[in-house]
Amino acid sequence: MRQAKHKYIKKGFQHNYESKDRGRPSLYLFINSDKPDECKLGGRWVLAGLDPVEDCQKRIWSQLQTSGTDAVDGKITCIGIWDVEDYAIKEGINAKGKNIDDNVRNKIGFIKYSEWHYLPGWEFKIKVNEFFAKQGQPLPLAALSTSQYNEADDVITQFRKFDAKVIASELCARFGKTIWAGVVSVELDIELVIIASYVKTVFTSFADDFTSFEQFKDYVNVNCDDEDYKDKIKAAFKDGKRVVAYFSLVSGSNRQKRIDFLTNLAQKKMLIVDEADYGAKCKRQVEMLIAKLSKIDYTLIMTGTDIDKATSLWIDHIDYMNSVTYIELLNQKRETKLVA
Amino acid sequence: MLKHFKIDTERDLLVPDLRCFQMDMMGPVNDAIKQNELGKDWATLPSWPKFSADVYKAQALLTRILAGVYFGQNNYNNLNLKYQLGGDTSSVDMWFFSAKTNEQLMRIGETFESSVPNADVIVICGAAHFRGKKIKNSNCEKFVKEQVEISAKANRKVIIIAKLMATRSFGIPKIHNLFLCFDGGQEGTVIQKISRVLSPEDLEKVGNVFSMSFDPNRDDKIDSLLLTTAMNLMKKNPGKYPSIKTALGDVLNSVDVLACTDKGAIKFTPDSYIEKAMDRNSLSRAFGNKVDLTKCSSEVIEEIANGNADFDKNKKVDKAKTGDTRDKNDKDKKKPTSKQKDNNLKKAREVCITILENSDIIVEGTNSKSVHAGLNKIKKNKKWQREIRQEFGVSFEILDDLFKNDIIDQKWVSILHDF
Repeated sequence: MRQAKHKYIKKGFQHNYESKDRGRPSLYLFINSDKPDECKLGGRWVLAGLDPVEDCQKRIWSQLQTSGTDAVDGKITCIGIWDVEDYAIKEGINAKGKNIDDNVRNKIGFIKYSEWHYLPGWEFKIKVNEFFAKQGQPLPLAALSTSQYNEADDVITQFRKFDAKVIASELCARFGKTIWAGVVSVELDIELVIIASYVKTVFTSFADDFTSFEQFKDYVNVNCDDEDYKDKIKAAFKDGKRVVAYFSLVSGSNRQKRIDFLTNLAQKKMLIVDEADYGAKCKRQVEMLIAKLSKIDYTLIMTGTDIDKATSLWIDHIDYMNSVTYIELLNQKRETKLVA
Repeated sequence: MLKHFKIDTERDLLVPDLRCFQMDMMGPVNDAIKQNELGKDWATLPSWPKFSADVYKAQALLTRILAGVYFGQNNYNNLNLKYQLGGDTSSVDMWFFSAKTNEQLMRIGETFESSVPNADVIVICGAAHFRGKKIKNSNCEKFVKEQVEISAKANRKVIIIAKLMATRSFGIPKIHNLFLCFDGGQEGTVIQKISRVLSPEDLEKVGNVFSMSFDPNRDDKIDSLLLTTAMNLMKKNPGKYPSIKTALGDVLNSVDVLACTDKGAIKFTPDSYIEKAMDRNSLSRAFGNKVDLTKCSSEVIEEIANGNADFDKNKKVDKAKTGDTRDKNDKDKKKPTSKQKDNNLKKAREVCITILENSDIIVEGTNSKSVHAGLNKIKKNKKWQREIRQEFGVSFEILDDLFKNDIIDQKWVSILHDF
């Protein structure tokens, strides 16, 4: 049997949105894999009782017109949906046909033409998230899989009760380690999270998670490659915010200055080294970070595979190791099904 | 208890299921030898390195294997994908080979093209091109996605051939079947390759991994994944999982491990699986991976790394197991690189595995009932301490520390040696 056409629109997120007993405005953002440097932000008045995700998928399908074939080919992905009722009320445009998408679009910018924006979808999504966080619009609540919850609980216990300072985590594919690391940071009440990686795409994944959920709304994301990163960080702390600082481990003239600046800040700090088995495992990277350990409250070294390779130079500093294999996720899936 | 986050059990259900199959390649090997399609050297110890040393020389073998896998020809029922799976709906298959060079991998691709004419073959390596563009790690996912779209319109299967590339950040949800055509392989590398079949597509997706082996009794590619999981379960919930067998029982309830036979795929039970894993020393290697070296200083790790990873007893087993499949001159020329020298952690783990595998001498050699008791006796006997040093290459003090500080769990010795 053929599936409903709007189901060809892929979902690029995993959280759910509840249907409500009243109509309300939503925004959606979608990308076409043929056009990696642009994205489209649209608006939809979701009627009472309807599933916002499915309703937005229908809207996207209807907008594709002759490009519907792109959806059938799996090229169209909806990467974000926002329930913007609070914002619409604040702006006095909480009604059908009020073009709330244009209101938001004009404030965020990066407009290419009509509803299209000239930023890669994942980067624009972060801009939208940051915009709504500033406006006080509630974001979806992040919920965890059982494995994510249990491992976070374990690691936090090690940090808090057993005074661990450095933990190495080997977390398999599909575990969801970026959001998990964010959870650990929030629960430990960290004011400055330093994400260090040799692989720069890691930063986009973290920024997506750190801007998408209500629990992370106090964090401001700052890329240390930006010229004014120091000002941005200082301004955020001055405003009573917390900071996620993205710190590239790729060698460069400013690398040492950046880590010196970050670790000299007085705030409670956590260092997260992601993809630790790739580039970040080398002596030049590791020694620089180890030299700063005394100024960092907690350190989390994360890798998907090959923990030995990732930690060989850290071995004298590691207090605890945790590991989750893919089959443990399957074991949990089976147990969850049994309970259900 | 977390303060700010709750569990959503629906998220537990998002991971695709996994089935692991062992396929025995000896049928095609024996037939190819009978038909003079393979050299005489294949009569002893056939292996993937032997295959990849010169793909053209072993082309007939691959042709036979593919005819069996995709078309059920030559009565190779144990290779017939549709027969083993009860129908094959995968539109994208991925094959990993241990080809020596990119050129050899390209030759493998040629053989696929001629043997499976109803499929579009894309080879992922630095020597390959897609629409005139050189394939790289950074663009291979995009190119494969394009090929998948083109082939879907023509109702054709896509077969991806890869070696080292496409093992990271390569997610094609339509890959349902993955074939591992190499012997051994480091745990991390094997898991990275297996993960290519785990990109979610829908809630019904099941990833099928086929370990293509010339000797399934010695094929340990998926052992470490299963046994590491079992050991993680024991560590995290010792009440529920008091033994490796109970933990492995749950592991095998969560992932199907099957042997492909002429009568269809047959599931391993925990007992039969443990027995096979012990025969191929996989259990000791899995224990070795869990040796808690974070409790040791780097100096101690270095000392352990300088120990003996080639205990006499193991040397004999290894020689019989691997045979002379590589060019001796190549082997002699190899010198340890600086990277290898630095990798003390890995070496230390290998030494710990050797200690585990041979720890029976600590018990039986001292006429004791446990490692603990044996070590106490050795402590009082200088001659035995010297012998320990000679056998394991590490001092008695270090050996004593390894066991008494639970860096090596004494329970593992009991499991391995049945004390």
